[in-house]
Amino acid sequence: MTDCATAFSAALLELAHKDERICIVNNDSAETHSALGFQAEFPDRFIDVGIAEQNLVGVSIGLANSGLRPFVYSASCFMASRALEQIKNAAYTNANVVFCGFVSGLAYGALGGTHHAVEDLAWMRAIPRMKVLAPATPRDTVAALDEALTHDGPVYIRIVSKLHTPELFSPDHTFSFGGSAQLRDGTDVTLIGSGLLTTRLVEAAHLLAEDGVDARVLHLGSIEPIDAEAIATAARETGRLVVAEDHVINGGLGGAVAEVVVRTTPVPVLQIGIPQVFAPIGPAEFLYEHFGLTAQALAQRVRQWLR
Amino acid sequence: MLLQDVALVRSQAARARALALTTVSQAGIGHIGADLSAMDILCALYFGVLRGGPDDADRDRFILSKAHASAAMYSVLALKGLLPQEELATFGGQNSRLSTVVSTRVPGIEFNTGSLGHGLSLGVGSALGARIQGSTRRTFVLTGDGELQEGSNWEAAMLAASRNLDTLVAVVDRNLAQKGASTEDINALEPLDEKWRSFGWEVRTVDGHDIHALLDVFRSAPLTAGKPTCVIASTTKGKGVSFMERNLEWHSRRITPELLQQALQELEEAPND
Repeated sequence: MTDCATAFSAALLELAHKDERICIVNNDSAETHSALGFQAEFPDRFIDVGIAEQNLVGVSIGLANSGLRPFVYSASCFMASRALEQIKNAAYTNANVVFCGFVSGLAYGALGGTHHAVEDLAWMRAIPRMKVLAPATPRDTVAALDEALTHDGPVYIRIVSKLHTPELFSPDHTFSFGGSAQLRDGTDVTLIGSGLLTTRLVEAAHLLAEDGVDARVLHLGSIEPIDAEAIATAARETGRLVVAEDHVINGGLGGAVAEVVVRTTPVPVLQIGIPQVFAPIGPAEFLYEHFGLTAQALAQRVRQWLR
Repeated sequence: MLLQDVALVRSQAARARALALTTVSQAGIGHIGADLSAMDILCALYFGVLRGGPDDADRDRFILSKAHASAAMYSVLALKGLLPQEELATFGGQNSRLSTVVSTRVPGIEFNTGSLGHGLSLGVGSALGARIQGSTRRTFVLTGDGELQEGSNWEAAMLAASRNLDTLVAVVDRNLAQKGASTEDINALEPLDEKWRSFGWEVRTVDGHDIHALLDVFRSAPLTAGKPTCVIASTTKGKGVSFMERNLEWHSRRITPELLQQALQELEEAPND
């Protein structure tokens, strides 16, 4: 199986054959986001605005007004931050734009802080009407695309690029706004993740099982809206929650889960993510190790916390 | 051009000015200087150029980037029958649809603008959408001059020319004034026509209160096949009311009932030829 970004772009190309409203708006990065096939097959529906993110988003809103279904193809670090105000106004206008945030998290590695997209969830979560998705595997990412295309209104999809995630879902997997997927049952603690961290938490749960810790794993591919019921149930049934994410601690998935927990079922929550620091320099995998976002480090951290 | 077209636009502009003045005066908020500056451009477009109503998918698109000229816009929409005229009295009030920068709550408004510098990108997207759909519909964007200080305009201007979007018309309401001073004292735009031209646009400068000239240039666009059109409309902030004209205080100053009467009287007495 392919990686999330490649699977997403392949699925969009296939959909574009059936749905002539689909177009891609891109900022000079077709190759990076596996969009060369779309560009070759549908040159009229592939719009490269160049290196100009404010225009990237504004043009997309204009296309949506024409009845088209634009997918904004950009590294999330540039789109979500540089064009944040245009994205907010897309939501205010309730434009049918799907914002595809590629190369999310720390995937850009040694390029450093300018290129790491670790604040996007906080920004997107703050915008009314915006659906915020962070699928975990190739099939989950394609299913999120299907769900986004049926929706009237703006959607942000945080797409795992450049980093491998094992497939967890069957070919008939579906994705729904406000839904979740329990990937492992357990009674001692619930490990909650989205995006890249979900598969790592599944692996961490296996490691914990070897030590006699029975961990539930909950994948929240939809962060806004969020599956409050699944979170509250997990809190009630397992008593403690761990949330892991490749995002700053403030305002990301951990924040979203904590908001639900304090409103419904207060229990201790351990937030694992990026503290308020800019990452050091190094390859992506080194950065994930640095912040304790590998299966081994996650299992170790959970073990310590439960003690 | 038919003289009655010009006469129709002119009379609607006079009515719309009276509505906008009354609206802003009663509400105690708004940007009357900008409303009056843009009014003739709006009326030329709405009563002489734009094709199709809000429910027509292939309608011409109009985007008010200088969204604070909202009382003018709502007054025109009221005269077009898209908004009950009595609703103008709710302008900016509790739970009104009429935000003081325009929004899509009102039929006929395409986008929620208001933060300056966003309209031209929306227009480029709209023109690209028309091309993808094989439509010849046109897109008009009305920008203020001060908002051309936003860099996003020039991102959009570059792309429009590079994609030969000749169904796109940008109209600059060139009243030379921004909130507190002249554009040229704050962050100079001149030579503005040369800027647009160097970005690949066909440029015309017209008197933004000359209905005949406005209709002529809007109906003639594209002026050059393959090029987007920029109409620099030289305007006067507060146009039509002598004590407001060219007076920067009237960007958003409150209009007392006495001054409103004086302004309405002036409009009534103005020659309507």
